[in-house]
Amino acid sequence: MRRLTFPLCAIVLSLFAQQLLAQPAVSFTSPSAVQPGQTIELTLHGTKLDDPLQVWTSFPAKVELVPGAADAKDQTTRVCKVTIDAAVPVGIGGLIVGSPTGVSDVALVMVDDLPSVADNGKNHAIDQAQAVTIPAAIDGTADGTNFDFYKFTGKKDQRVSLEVVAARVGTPVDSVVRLLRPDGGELLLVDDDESSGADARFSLTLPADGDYVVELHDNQYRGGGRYRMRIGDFPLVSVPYPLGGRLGSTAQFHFAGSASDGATPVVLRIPDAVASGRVSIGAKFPSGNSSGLATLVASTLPEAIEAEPNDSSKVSTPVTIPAAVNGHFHSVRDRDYYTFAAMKDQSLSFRAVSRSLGSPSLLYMRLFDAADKQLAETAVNDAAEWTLNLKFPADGMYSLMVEDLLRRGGPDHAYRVEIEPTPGFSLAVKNDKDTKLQFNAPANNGALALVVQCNRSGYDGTVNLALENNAGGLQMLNPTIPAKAKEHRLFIKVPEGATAGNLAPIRLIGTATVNARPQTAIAETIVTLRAKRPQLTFPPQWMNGLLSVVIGSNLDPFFAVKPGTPAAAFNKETGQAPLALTLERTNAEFKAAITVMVENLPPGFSSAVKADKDTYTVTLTGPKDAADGTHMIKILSYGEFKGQGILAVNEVPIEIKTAAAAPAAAAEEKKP
Amino acid sequence: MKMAVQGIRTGAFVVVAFAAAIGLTRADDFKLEAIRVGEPQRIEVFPPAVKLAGVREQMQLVVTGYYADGSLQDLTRAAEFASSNAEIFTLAGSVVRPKADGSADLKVSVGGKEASIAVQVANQGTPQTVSFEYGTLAALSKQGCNAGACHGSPSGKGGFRLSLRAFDPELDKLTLIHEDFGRRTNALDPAESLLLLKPLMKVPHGGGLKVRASDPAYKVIHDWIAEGCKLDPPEQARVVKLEVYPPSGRLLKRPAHTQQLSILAHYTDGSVRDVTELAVYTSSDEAVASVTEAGLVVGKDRGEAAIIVRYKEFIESSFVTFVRDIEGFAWTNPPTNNYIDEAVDAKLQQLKFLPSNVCTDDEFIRRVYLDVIGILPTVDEVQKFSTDAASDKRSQLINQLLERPEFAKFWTLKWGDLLRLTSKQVGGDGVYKYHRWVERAIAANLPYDKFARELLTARGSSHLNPPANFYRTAADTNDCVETISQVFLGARLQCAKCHNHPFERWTQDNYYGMAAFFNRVQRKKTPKPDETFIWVSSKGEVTQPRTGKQMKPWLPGDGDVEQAEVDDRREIFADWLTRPDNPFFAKIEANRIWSHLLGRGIVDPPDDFRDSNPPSNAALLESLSADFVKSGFDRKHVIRTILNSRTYQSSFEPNDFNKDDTKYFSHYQPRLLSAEQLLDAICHVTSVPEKFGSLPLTTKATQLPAPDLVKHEFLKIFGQPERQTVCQCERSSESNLGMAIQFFNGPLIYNKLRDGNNRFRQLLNQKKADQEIISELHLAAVNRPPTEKELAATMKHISSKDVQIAAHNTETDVKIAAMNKAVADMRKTFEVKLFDAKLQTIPDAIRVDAKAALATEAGKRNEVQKYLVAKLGPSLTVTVEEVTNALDEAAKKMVADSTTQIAELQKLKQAPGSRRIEALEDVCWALLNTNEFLFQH
Repeated sequence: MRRLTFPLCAIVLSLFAQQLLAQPAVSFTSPSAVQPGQTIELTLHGTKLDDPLQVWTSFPAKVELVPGAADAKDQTTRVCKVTIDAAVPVGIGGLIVGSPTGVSDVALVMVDDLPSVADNGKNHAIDQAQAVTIPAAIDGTADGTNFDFYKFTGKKDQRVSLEVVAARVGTPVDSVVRLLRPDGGELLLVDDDESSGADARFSLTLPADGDYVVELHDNQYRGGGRYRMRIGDFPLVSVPYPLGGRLGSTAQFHFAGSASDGATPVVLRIPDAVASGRVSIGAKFPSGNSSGLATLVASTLPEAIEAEPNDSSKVSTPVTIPAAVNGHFHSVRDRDYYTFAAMKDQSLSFRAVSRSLGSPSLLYMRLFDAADKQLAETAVNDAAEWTLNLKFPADGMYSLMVEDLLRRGGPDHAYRVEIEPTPGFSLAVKNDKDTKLQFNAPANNGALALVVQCNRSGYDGTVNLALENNAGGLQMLNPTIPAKAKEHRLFIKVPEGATAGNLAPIRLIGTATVNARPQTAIAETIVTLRAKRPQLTFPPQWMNGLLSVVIGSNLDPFFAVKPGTPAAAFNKETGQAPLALTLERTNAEFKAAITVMVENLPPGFSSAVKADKDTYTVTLTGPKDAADGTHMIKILSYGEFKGQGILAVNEVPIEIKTAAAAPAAAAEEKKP
Repeated sequence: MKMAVQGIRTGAFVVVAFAAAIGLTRADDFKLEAIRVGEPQRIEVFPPAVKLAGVREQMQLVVTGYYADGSLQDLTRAAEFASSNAEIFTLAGSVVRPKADGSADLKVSVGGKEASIAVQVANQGTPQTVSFEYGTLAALSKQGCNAGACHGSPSGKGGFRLSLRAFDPELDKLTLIHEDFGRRTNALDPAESLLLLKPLMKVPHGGGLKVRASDPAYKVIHDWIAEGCKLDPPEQARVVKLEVYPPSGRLLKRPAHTQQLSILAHYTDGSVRDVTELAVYTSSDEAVASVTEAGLVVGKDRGEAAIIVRYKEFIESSFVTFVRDIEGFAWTNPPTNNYIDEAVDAKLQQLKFLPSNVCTDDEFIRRVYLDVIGILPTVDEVQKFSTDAASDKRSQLINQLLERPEFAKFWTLKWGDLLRLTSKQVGGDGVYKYHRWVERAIAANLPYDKFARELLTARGSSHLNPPANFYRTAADTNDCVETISQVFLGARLQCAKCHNHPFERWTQDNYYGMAAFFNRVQRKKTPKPDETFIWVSSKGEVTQPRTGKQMKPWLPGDGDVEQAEVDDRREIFADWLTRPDNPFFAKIEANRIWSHLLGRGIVDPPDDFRDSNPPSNAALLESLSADFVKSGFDRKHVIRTILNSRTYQSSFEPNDFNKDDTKYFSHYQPRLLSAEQLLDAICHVTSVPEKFGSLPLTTKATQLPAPDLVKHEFLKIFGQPERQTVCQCERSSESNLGMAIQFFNGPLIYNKLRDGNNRFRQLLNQKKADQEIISELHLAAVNRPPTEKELAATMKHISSKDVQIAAHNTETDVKIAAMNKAVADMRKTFEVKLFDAKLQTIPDAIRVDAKAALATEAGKRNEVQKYLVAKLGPSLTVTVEEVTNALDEAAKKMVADSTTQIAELQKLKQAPGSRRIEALEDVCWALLNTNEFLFQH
C-alpha cells in the first residue's frame, strides 16, 4: 500500500538549530490529485522541501522527485512524478515527506480519475467565468467575497454530477454551489450534504443545451481555502452495499446513494490483510467515464445481509454471531430486526458503522429478549456512531432492532452493525495539547515517547504492543502495558546504525488474550486527528493510528546521567537497594525533567524512581532471600528537547550479598 | 318624554379620595352624564329570570333599552325596580337580594316601558358557608391583596405571602390558616383578625388602606373567618365558566356612555351565581373607558375598549365601543380598493374619523420601496415612476418589488429578529446557512404554514437542515414554549412559567401542557465543529413544578391531547397550529405583516395578543387573516393586498377629522427608518457603500445575516437589536442623543460627504449644473424633485458661497496691496538714497545749478530728480537692479518674504464657483437631516 521511493541520502546536517527550524512541511499539492494509470507531475508546496527528501504515500505509487537545484535551501516547492496503477481506486489518500531534518504532517491528496484543471484566479464574475471542458476536476481557491465562476457546455438530458472535495481533505472551505441555467436563472443551490458533509454536491440531468455556470463560494466568505470541484458523469455514492467484506474474500458490491441507481456493481477481492480496515472502491455508471467515491470495511467478521421483510421481532433476519450485518432503511420509519442466539453471561458488542462511510443514518439500536422485553438501548451521545454492549442474562434467542435516530430512510440510508464478543480493551494514543503524531528521532541516540491509553471493558490483564510496518527496525523499550494499567508511557528507540532520513510511518498494535481468545487493537489517533484538523469530520481510516517517524541527523546529547556510586548494594534486611543518579545538563537550554526506567532487573525485583530536582533516586526492591551475586541493570533515561527525544543508557551493577554478622562486642559497646 | 336623570352624588370628593386610596375605581370617581332615556321601543332585562338558591346569593340586573333607529343603551342606572313581594326578595339599586323562600315578580320600568321577570328564592333556611376559593380568595383578589406589587409577589410583603392572584390555593391555605399559628384570623372575634385590621388600617399596614367595612369583600372575609376559616369540601361544585353580560360588541353613543356589567359564574353542578361584586375589572384603554369596582363601564372618549373581567383563574372580556357626534363631520364615501379599505372605513365611519387623502406618487414610491425591499428607489426609478402614466402603475410597482431579490433579503431581516439569528446562538457557519434558508423560503414564497412547520418540527443537522437552528436558539423546553408562543401565538407566556398569568387566560398548567410538546426535543453535538444535531426522544414527560402533576400535551382551545404517543409530539402541535381555523396562527402573522407595513399593528404590540390588548379593528383583522388562510398562507398575497389598499396609500398628513387618531389607520403614521434602512439610505444618497466585515461589498445593512457578524456603531445607536429575545420590542426606535450626534457631525456621514467619489462629486465630474445636482440629490434622498422654494434656497446657498468668495478675494487683494505698497515704499526709500548718492557724482555746477534752480522749491526732490534726469540723461535713473542690489540683506529678505506672501495670497484667491463642493456637502448634509429623509412617511 505504500512505498518509500526516493533513494536515501546520508547527508547529515551538522547544526542542531538548523535541524529544528528545518522541519519539512507540505501545505498542498498541485494538482490536488493523482490519476490512476497516469504519471502526474505533482508539485508539493510547503517549506523546507530540501534534499535529501523522502516521500511516502498512503496508496501504492511510484514517486520520483525531480532533482532541485544543487544544494538549494529552504525550498518551498518540489516537483515529483507520481505514477499509480490504473487499478488503484479513486479515493482520498495522503503523502508525507521526511528528511533528516524532520517529517511533515500528512498532506491529503486525491486519487481521481478526472483530469485536473487549475483555477485561473480571474473568474470572479459570471461574465468572466472560466471555461471548463467536462469531465474535469478543478483545483481552486476560495477567494472570500469574490465568488468563483466556471462555465461548461452541456447537452439536454446529459447527466452531470458535481461534488466539491474540500472538507473531506481537511481544508476550511464550506462550499456553497449554485448552478445557473444558460438563461442566467438559478437551477439549483447546494450546500451541505447528508453524505459528504460540508462538501456540496449534486447530480442532475441538464434541461437544455447550452452553457451552464457554476458559482462557488465559501459559506462564511472565507478566503484562501482550497477545494477540488469534480464535474463529471459519476454516480453520487454514499456507501457501497454491503458496506463491508471479509478479508480475503471476493464479493460483489452495489452502491447506495441519492444518485447512484444504475451504477455498475463491482466485484472485488478484499485483500487478506488491510491495516486500516478500510478499502476504497470507485463507482461508475455502465457508460460513465468518471467514478464516485466510496469506502468499504474490510474485517474478519462473516458478513450477513438484511433479508426483507424484517420489520419486527417476529419477522426478522436471523444471524449467527459473530457477524457484520448490512442493512438498509428503505423508507421513512423503517425498522430492521435481526435475531440471534446468545448464551448466558455472554458479552456482545454491537458496533454501528454508517456515518464514517458516508451513510446519513445514525443507528439507534435496541436489544430485546424472546418475549420482546427491551434489555438495552443506545445511549445517544455526541459521537456519530454508537456501540451497544450487553451481557446476556440467559441462553436464548434475542433480537436486535435498528432504526435511524430520526426514523429517516431512503436510498442513502444503508448501515452496518458489527456484532462480536465485547472486546476486552481498546487502545488510543492519548490526546492532549502535547500529543505528537510526527517524530524526528536522531540517528545516534534517538528515541520517542508517547502515552497509550488502554480502555478496558472486563479485561484487566497485560497488553503487548507491537509496531506495524516497522521497516526501520524501531525498538520498543517497554512494550507491555501492565495489568490494570489505563495509561502507559511507551518508549521507542532508534536502532543502532539507523540511517538518517529514513521515513517510517508506523502503527501501534496491542494484543492480548481475552477470555481465551486472541484480540488485537490498534492505538487509535482519531481524537487527536479531529482536534488537529477540525474540518476533517471523518479522517480517512488509514490515518487512524498513523505515527510518522523519521530518523534524524545525529544529535549531541543534551543531558547525561551519572550514578552516584559505582554499584548499588542490595540490603537483604530492608529488601532494598537505593541508587542515586545525577542529571547533568550538557545543554544549558535543556530545562525539562527526564524519565528514568530500569531494565534487566534480577528476578523478583521491582524498581521505583523518585526525582528531586536533578537528583533521581532509584529504589530497587527485591526478595530478602535473593541469591547473592552481581547483576547488571540498565538505567534508561529519556529526555526531550525542542521536539526531539534521546535516550541515555547506563549499566550499573547491583550487588546482592549477605551481610557478615556484626561482632557481639562491638554491639555491646554501642549500648549505653 | 320622561327623562330619568341620575345626578352626581354629593360629597364625591371624599369618596373619590377614599377610592383612590384603596386602588379601586368607583362610580363616584366619574362625572356621569345623565341618561337620556328617550322613548325606547322595548326594554330588556338581564337575566330574564332570577334564581337565588342560597342566603349569600344575589343578582345584578342589567336593563337595556332598544330604540327605533336601531340603537340601544344601558338603562340600568335610570330604571326603577319593584318587587311584587318584598318578603321574598329585596332590591339594593339594581341588585336583587333574597329574603325568604318563594317566588315573586320583579317589575322594571323605564322610558315608559315595563318588563317583568320571575324571581325564585330557595334555601334561605339553610346556612351557606363562604367558599374559601370562590369567596375568600376572590375577595382578596378583588381588593388587590394578592397582586404582584403586594402580597402576591414571589417573596410576599411584610412576611405575608399570597399566591399571585390566588393561582395557588394550596399555598394560600397554608398562609391564611396555618402559618404563624393562625394568628392572622380570629374566629372568635373576626373583626379583630389581622387579615381585616391591617387593610382597614386599624393596625399599621405598609400597603395602606385596602378595604372598607362596607365593601362586599370585607363581609366575605369576615364571614369566612367567623365560620372557622373552613376549606371547601372536595365535593363542592367548581366554577367551569364565566359569563359576562353584555357580551362583546355593544356600541354606545354619547350621551349614552355607561354600561353596567353582570358577571355570572357557571358551576359544575349546573348552578349559576352572580359574582359581579367579587369580580375584578380592568379596561384595555383607560383613555376610552374605565370600569368601576361594581362593574359599571364608563366611556370617556370615542373608541373601543376591552373590559377584562377576572374571577379566580377565569378571565373573560367584553368589547364596548363608544361613539359621539363630531361637529362638521360628514362621511365622504372615499373610494375603496379592497376589503381592507371597507373594514377600515367602517370603523372610521363608526368612530367619526375621516380618512386622509391618498398620498402622492412621490410619497408612495418612497414608502413602498422602504416597506417592501427596505431601500430607497434609485433616481432613475423615481423618475420612471413619476412619468409613468399608467393608471395601475402602483400595482405594477408593488408586483415588481415583491419579485425583487431584495424583498426576501429585507424580510429575512425581520424574521432574523424573531428567530434570534446570531452567530453566537447558531454558530459561525450556522448563521449563514440559517439566514440563507429563511431568505430562500421567503423568496420562494414558502407558504407560512409550511414555513412554521419546517421550523417547529425541524430535526437533524443544524447545518444540513438549517431550520433545526430554531432549536439551538430555543435551547431548552421553557425557551421553546416561550419562543413559540410569542412568535406563533402572539402570547407572552413567561409569567405562566411560575404562576398563572396575572392578566390573561394562560395558566401555569397551560404553560407546562404546551411544554409537553417540546420536552422530548434533544440536542447533541456532532464530530463536525459548530454543528448541532436535533432529535426527538421517545421518552420524557413534563412535571408541573407546583402540583407535581405529570402534564399531558395541551393545546389552547383543544385542551389535553389524549393520543399523544407518536414519534414526535411536535407534529401534533404543528398540525394544530397550522389548521386553517386556528384562532391565533394566521392572525398573528397577518397582524405582523400589517404592523410592518403600517407601522402599527391592528393588535399592537404585534406579538402581544391578549384580551386586555384587543385589536383596534377586529373585523379588519378577521378579514385579513381569513384572506391569508384562503390564499394558502401566502404572505406575498397579504402584503400585496395591503399595499394595494387605499388605507396603505393614504397620506401621512392628517385632516381636521383624524388628527387625533393613532390607532384606526385613518392616515399613514410616519415613523423613523430602522437602523439598517437608515444606513442603507445614507449610502444610497451619497453613493458610498458601506463594507460590512468580510461580507461581500454588495451586502446592504438590511441584508446582514446577523448583528453580531459586524459590530457597527451607527446601527447600534439607531436601535439594531442584539436579538437576545424574540420580542419585537427589542428593536428600539426611541430617539437618543447619539442619533442626533451621528447626524450632526458623526464620522459616518462626515466621511461619506467627504468621499472623493460620492454622488455629488461624480456629478460635478460629469459637469452637471448645480440645479441638476440639487435635483438628483433630492430625488435620491427624498425621492422627489426639489420644490421651487427649496431649489431657490439651495441655489442661494451656493451663490452665497460666491459672495463669500468675492469678500474673501477683496480682503486678500487689500492684503496684497498693502504688501506691495510696503515693498514699494522700501524701494522708494532706497531709490532716494541711491539718487542722492548719484547726485554726489555729478558736476558741482550742475548740482549747484539745480539746487539754485529749485531753491524756491526746496524739498521737492522728485522735481529735482526729474530736472536732472531731463538735463543729464538716464544715467541718473535708478534701476530696480540697482535698488535691489543696494538693499542690505535684511531688507532683501523682507522683500523676498513679502513677495512670497503676496504669491501665497494670490493663490488663496478663489475662482467664482470654486466652493460648490462645500455648498453641495452642505446641501447633502441638510437633506440627510430632514425629517422627510429620516422618516418613513
